[in-house]
Amino acid sequence: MRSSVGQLKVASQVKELGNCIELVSIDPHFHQVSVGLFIKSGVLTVFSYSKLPGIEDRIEQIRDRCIQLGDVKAVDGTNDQLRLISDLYLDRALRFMFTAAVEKDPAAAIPTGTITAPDTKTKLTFVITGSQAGDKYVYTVSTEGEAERAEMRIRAAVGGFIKYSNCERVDKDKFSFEDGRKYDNFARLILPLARNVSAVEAQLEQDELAGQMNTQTLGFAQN
Amino acid sequence: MSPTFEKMTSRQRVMAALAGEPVDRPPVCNPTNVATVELMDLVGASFPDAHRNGELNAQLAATGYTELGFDAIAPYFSIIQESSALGCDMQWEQKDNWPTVRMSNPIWKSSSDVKIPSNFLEHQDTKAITDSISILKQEYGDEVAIVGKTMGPWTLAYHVFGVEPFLLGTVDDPDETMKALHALKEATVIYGQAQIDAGADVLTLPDHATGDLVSGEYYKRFLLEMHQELEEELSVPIMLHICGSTVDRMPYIAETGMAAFHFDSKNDPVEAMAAVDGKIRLVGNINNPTTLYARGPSEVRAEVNAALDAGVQLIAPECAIPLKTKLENLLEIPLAVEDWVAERGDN
Repeated sequence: MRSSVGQLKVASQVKELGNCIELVSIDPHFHQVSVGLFIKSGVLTVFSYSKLPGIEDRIEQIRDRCIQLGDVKAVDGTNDQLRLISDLYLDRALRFMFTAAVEKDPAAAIPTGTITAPDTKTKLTFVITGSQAGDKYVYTVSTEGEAERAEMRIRAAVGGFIKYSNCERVDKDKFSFEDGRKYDNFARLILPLARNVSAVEAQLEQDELAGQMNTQTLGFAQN
Repeated sequence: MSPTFEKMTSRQRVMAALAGEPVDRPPVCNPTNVATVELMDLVGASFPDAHRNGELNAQLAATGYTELGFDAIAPYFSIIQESSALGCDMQWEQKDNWPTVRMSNPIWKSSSDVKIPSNFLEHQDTKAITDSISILKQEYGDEVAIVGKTMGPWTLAYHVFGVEPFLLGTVDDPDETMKALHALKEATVIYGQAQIDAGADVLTLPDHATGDLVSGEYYKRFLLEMHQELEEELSVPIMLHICGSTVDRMPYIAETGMAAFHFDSKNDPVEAMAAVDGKIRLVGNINNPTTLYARGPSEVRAEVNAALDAGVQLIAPECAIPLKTKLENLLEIPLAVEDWVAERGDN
């Protein structure tokens, strides 16, 4: 059991990995291990402190899922590293990308083609299309189906992109990413979250409480 | 302390600070848990098994010293080991969450029901901690302070009677409440002594008369004298832990005779130091849910500096850290203490 306090393995590992962007406590598809996404000098690394056999393959699988889910690319010659496709750093989008890469069924196909997602509050389906407009790549949110509040739902979805990807509102139904570039994977990833910010926020709040020890989680707080 | 003070071991540093003696630098202590999900994976010892198996418990607890560089090892991660041994209905949860007592299903109704089982110390969940302390003492005893933990009677009362029935009882029948607390105090002493016998250098004594549930006057009325008795009955330095805003009871806590009070970030460290008026040492009070969990090393460093500037004698997270705490933030605590001392030339 003994290891010398003079050689903190974790400290040197943290130095090498950089800052932790997101930590998933339990990988439901690989022995319940924790997996983190770290960033240093623009390079993202998927890492776990687990030493279980097969962990390297699982890390590579997560890394490859990230490439499909987000606008990131593999670092050549590595099985655990990624790079952003531009200088734009989208913290929330990267965190959602990583969590989805770890928690979603690795055998499930990742959608391609038209960016769509059903609305959770109406029977509408959101559709996102993008096109170059001058020096900006602009995304337009529309809906398919019938509902009374379609316009309001579209505005809300655009608001969700502003919240979770720092996007800029171009019009009531249009947005662009901060640097005006095309990020179709992030648009697809964020749409299901952008459509219902309040539910996502409630879920995030609940996730954050898990693992916290306080009078509320211990059951000592007044209701 | 002088800048040329001879370098102490972690154990010497903690014990000296708790005794109010000079130290080479303020210790980084952990009266409560500093294990995280990543450290669980590092050593292959995860919750809930690490609560219930002495060997796994010791492997995980040791990382607070071997990996994070803290000056203490605290193997009792949660607050439920005794309550499990008393027969409470347990929810053990999984790796990323804390085990809890199902207090909606209390096991006792009155002080006359309180019976400490004859096999209390042999129960798997009490023995896991004493076994772990024995292992840790053998491995690290000379170099690092081993911090045990024994739950105070107020917290045990929440677990065995349920929070609401117990608190209502303090209003309806205070004498009965005192009887119940005295009966439960026996478990606190028995388990504390067992951990001392196993090798604990220090005990944390959490007793959740918290700021959001009871007043400072309640603390004085129900617990001050009992805590004074516990301090006399247990022969090692004790760190009392109470969550929440507790400045209103700190002057009373300072009268317990205990070595230190582990305080929450809801209390301003300058105000807290004034409240205890040099009568008890303070341990704390780096914020968990915001700073350690959600912010970065620079914010952690700022809080460490604020606590040291206020004169807080032992630096620690305010309570058991969130299990997803970033390791970079925990590693920053001892670094910040070292730098603070280096910048000032003394402490």
